[in-house]
Amino acid sequence: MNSILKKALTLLAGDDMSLDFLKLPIKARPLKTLTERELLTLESEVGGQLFGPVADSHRREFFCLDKQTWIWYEEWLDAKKKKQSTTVRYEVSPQGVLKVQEGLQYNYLEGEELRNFGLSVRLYYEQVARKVYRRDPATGQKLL
Amino acid sequence: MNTTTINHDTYQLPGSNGELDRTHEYSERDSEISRSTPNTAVERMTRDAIEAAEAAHTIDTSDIDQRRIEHVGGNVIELAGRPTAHEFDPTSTVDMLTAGAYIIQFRADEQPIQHAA
Repeated sequence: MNSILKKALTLLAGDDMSLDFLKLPIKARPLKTLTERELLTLESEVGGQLFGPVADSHRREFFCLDKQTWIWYEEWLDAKKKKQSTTVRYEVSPQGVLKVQEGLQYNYLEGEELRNFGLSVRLYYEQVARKVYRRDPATGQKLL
Repeated sequence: MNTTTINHDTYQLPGSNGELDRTHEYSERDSEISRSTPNTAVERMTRDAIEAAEAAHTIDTSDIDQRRIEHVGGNVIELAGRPTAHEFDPTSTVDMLTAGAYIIQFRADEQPIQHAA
């Protein structure tokens, strides 16, 4: 703080007055400068770990692209050390969850797969809210 | 019959006496609303992702509305394993959409305001 201002305040208010209120607040939102893509990457790091450990030769991403679209991406090296990958897009609508996968027909999730997907979405939301955005998943409010 | 007389000393025509300033306020508010809804950058990313997926994938839309009993081509989420899934109540699709909407809102709240070029 400017020393002249400090002296002036001390003269006016006396030595026993705390001047802490003049200090600049600590930046409370450290993510503020990240781009949308960087935030997605952070979310995806959390999402990729929801399904347990990933083998060394694998890379897994699972993230919320927008309100109704979720992406699963898996990348690995085959026996010939050639990179393979698969991308699955899940489109959520009130009627169901449509699964779109490379080279395959569209199909709606059912049974165990639908339950697993729903659980994954719930876990993703709870963990991303806490770990990335520092929010209470139940209320959406900032955690102190 | 009673008649209403307009007091011309206080009555203001639209567009006069500060009306433009209020229009400015509305446009700022609209800008904030559009930033906090998922219809901006995320929508653009979605469109890009879908276009990229459609360009790379062979998509057969012949059965898009047909529910399929068997899981053609395997089940990625199932293969990844979720042994504790049965311990939770099933999550409805509305809950999934709500979770997605909250995440998009959190994401928008963290982003700096984007000014038009």
